Amino acid sequence: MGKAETYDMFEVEARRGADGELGVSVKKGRGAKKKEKLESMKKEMDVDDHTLSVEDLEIKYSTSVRKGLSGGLAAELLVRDGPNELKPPRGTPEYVKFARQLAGGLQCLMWVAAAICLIAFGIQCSQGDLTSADNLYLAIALIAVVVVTGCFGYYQEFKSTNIIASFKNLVPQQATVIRDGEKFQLNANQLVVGDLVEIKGGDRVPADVRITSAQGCKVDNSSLTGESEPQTRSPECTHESPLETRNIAFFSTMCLEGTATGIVINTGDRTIIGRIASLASGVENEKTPIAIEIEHFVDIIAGLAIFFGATFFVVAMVIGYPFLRAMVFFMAIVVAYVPEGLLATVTVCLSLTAKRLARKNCVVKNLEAVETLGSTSVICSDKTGTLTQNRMTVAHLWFDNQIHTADTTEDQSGQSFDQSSETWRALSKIISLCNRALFKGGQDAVPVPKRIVIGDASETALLKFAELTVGNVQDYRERFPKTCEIPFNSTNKFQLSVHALEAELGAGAGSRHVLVMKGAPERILERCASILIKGQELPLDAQWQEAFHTAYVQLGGLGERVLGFCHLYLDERQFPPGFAFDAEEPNFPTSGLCFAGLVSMIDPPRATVPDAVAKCRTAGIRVIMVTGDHPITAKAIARGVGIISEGSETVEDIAARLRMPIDQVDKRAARACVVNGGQLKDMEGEELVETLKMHPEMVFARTSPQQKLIIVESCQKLGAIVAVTGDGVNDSPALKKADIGVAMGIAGSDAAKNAADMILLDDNFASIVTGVEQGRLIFDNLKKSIAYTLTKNIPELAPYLIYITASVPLPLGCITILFIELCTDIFPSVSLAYEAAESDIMHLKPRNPRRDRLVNEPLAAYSYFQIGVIQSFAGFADYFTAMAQEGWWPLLCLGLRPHWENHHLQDLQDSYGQEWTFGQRLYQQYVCYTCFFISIEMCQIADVLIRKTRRLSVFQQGFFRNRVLVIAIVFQVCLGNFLCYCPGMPNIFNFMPIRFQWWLVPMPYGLLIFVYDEIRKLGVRRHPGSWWDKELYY
Amino acid sequence: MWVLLQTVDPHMPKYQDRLATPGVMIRPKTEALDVTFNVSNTETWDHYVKMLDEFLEPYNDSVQAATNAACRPGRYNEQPDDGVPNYPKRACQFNRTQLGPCAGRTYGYGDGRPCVLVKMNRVINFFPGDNKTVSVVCAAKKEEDVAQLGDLALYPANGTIDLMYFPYYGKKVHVNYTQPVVAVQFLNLTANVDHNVECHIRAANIRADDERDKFAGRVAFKIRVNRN
Repeated sequence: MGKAETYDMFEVEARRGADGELGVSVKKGRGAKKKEKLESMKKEMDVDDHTLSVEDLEIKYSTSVRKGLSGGLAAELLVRDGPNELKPPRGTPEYVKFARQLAGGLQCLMWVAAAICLIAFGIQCSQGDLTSADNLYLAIALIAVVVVTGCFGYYQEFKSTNIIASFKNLVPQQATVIRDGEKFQLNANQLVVGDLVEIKGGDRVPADVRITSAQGCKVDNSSLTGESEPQTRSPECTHESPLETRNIAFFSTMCLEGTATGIVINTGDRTIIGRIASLASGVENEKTPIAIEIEHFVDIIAGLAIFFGATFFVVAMVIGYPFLRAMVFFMAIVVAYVPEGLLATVTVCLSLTAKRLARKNCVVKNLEAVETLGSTSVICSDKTGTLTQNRMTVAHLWFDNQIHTADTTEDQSGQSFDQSSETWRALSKIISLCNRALFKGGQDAVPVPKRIVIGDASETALLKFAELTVGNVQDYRERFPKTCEIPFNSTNKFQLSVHALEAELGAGAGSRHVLVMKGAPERILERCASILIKGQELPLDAQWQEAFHTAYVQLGGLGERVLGFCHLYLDERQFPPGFAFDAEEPNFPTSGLCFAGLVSMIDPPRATVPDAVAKCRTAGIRVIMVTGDHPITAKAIARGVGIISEGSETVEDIAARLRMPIDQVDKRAARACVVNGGQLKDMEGEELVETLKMHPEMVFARTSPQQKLIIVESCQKLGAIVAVTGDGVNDSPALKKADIGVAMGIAGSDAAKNAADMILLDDNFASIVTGVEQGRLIFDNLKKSIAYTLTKNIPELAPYLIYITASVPLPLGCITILFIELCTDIFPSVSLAYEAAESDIMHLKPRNPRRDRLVNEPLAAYSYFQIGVIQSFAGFADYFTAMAQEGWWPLLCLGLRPHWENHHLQDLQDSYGQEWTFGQRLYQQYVCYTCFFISIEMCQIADVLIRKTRRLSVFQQGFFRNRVLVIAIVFQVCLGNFLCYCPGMPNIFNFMPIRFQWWLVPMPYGLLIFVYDEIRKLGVRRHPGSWWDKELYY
Repeated sequence: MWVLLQTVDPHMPKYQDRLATPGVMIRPKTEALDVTFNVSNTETWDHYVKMLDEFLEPYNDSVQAATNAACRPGRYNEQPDDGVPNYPKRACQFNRTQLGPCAGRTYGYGDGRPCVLVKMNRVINFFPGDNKTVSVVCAAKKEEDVAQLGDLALYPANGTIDLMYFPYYGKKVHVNYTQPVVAVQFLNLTANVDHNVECHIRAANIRADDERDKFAGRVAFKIRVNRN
């Protein structure tokens, strides 16, 4: 029986050649690594049950197509395989996730700093020195910062990882099953392999089912394969691929009409959809580019902080400081150097953009995705529902030996065709009458294209078309009551109906009935003897047949589904009114008819898509179509929306044009390329990458979910940042794998929405362009924001360096630094997110993730060693001024530290001979902190102004155009004032009310910063590409 | 910054925001302000004596007579510039002999009646007492210990700091300024017990109850005499 072999998830069947011959099956042990498991899942589905005969199936599953399984065996199998449900994947435990948030690079540094603080505090306590709880405060503040940012990050992650939840909802409640020859209802999760189940229209398929008998059964596979039309299910095996064969109905797809009976071949996680689900959840979320950037940046910062800290630790030890003091220095340097507020700034900037996008109908689930869209260089777009309207629409008509174009726009704003011909009148009559589709009642107020129709996709398209061009179809049908009908079936491939004519309208004299027929064009033509041209019935000779074939091929080449239409006025004498037509055994002519015309239908592209694709192109983004649909249709839509641009040819096009065999065509000459799933399966990974490199315009058709994943991976191998748009369950693994997955809000399945990072609420591909624009803007603005944030690290660090090396009284305290980082400077740095773009960012190429870093060398060097140094000078100027004016001249300050910080020295002489107690000196030190703080604040105001632009002059950008920034500056000043002058501050946060003069000291430095940067920008603008530009443009 | 430093007056600090209340200190001074010695063991108090000797060197009557003027007691010794900026100022005499038994020899350490000098920090242009007497008051920190502490003698009499030593004009112009001190002699300390003593300045404009600065306007120290 080999149950175990057949249902081992890790089984891989190597296929030999394209003929589908089954090869050796390779078994992987249960202990195989997860990665291998994933790799094997990426391979094609390994189901072969569709190729077996019913008898073989019965043997394989020890079941019977009449009686079903025996109850005992079913119970046994249920124990073995588990219930027929999708198991949620075992995720990382929540506390581990939370802990991970608390253990990032910066966080670790801060933990270390906090630990040192606590140790220092502990030692001080044990020495009985209870005067300064500073270290304790600092430790608490640091821990608070880490925990708060950690919680924030955890919350973000929590929101974006509940992928499996939606798959659960797909499980049907009840299934009709036959066991021991008895039919009964069962909870669908009790099904086991081998069960005989019945499916009828309206049911969800309860498991993967091999159909053994069917009556007009149709299923909607669109969420699985992306095909928008219902698929017929029948017992015959029609294709070697399990996804395409007709005799398998898939778990969770919808049965639209008809009934079917079949044997369950897969349950639970082993179903196709279950595998896609585990594929999606098995795919690791790629790190977003911004996360990589920030990590890169944090590595640098952490490295530098530890380097500086360690250096000064050693220096302090060598100079002869006690170990504890040296540790405190180390901690202080870490605190000064680490930009504590940066993570908060980045998060807030990204959420602001996310909010802005939400207003434009893009909901961002994963904050970092905002920026990812900006760096996107390849968009892999699904066709159905994303690029197209997911609605069959009549696109072309052929009558009077001419192809007419119908209006396919969503709002019927396009051009209509000439409707004056007699032939058109006849054709429209056939279209209206030979149609079983109906509008659902009560929709008169709804515009025709949006009305809900009962009927299949083609009939719906024809009904809507008739309603729009002819008028009220319902009335029309009532005037020509139907007397007989043969519905469409796959053997005769036509649909026929006979209608009674009203006497006065009888076109053909002496006729009381008209027979109308539509169907596959070649079948219709077979049955015709004449053709209607400009209202005249002409004999259908070879010339007209040729014309018909040309038109048929042409329309087919557009990827459209073509139907032929014909009619016949029946002779009144032979078929008097009330004649009993027999549909089972036609007692009326079904050949020798009169051909009226061809109608072709397509799922047309959305109106906004071509424009959006063009915009993507100007923005340097490559749009690749990846669809489950047929290559011809895919190619036609790709041409229609501009994914294959005008004038681009595929290899096949060139071959056809030059009339030479395909393998002789130089592949490099073809800009465009259409690859279908079959070809893709035979391609090696390298080959696919090569193909992607060679042809800038690519269309992938007939792709499976696994192949979509492989395509995304190949693009990523080329170094591209890949966005994937899609709506179906079949897209979800690719959505997850992509750097940014974009799901459709209206048409999208829950699985797709869950796997995606972003959801387009209006299903409008054009919204992606807005997203790209915002993403690029936020990258630029984050750069500015980070440059602003980094600058102040130098004036925060410098006091410590001077303090240790020159032994001056400490100019700036750790708590003050935290206030700068986390309080006053947050608002201006966030306000930079509101800055308008400096140039037309949509005409630039996407950034190269390896070269255009968020934090590059010029940015760091310029911020640190130029602006930062000016700020440090401002701080020290203010510090020395405040000290000197209170009685401590600079020269006296040098080397003063040991005396200054001596708790027991209560009568230290200043430069004037006055004596100071320790308490008085401490408050003086706080004054210095405050002065240094104010200096940094003043300089940072200048800094935020210069950071408004990187290249343009601030005067060109406008000072007040970014109102938020102006408000932020005002707020920053107010906050500074509050900290300085609020009573109680000296003893809580070490801020002293300082004299007004000391606010003025740093202002000239602020002005200097401003002028300095304007000169830099002038140089950058005047001499692009020069040394100046390279070194100073960040 | 250079420009800013040019604005700093070499004689007079621009601001004295932190010095509203002058600090108070004692001599002899040890790290923990702890005066502990054994009467019969000279080595245990020898260093206190040396410290005091050194401190009181400039207070010698001869030095005072040579450099400083005898001023009129009981009022501030104001010396206006009279149009000449930073004209050197005369300092008033504070003679060592004013300290009575605490003026020399073993300062009472030899016979178990130790002296501690209390001094007030110099602050430029500070006028203590608002024209009223300024004095030093010492007492046991806790009231129940008063009896154990025994009697105290203050020199000059009543622990007065005369107003004539104020104001101070800074070390550049007020070269030989002699800081006034008050000597506290503990006459009959209970031996072999720690005594916590607090001295504070009693003056109209000096607050001695600052919670955060324990040395503003006051000073607390420990004294212990061991006898075998």
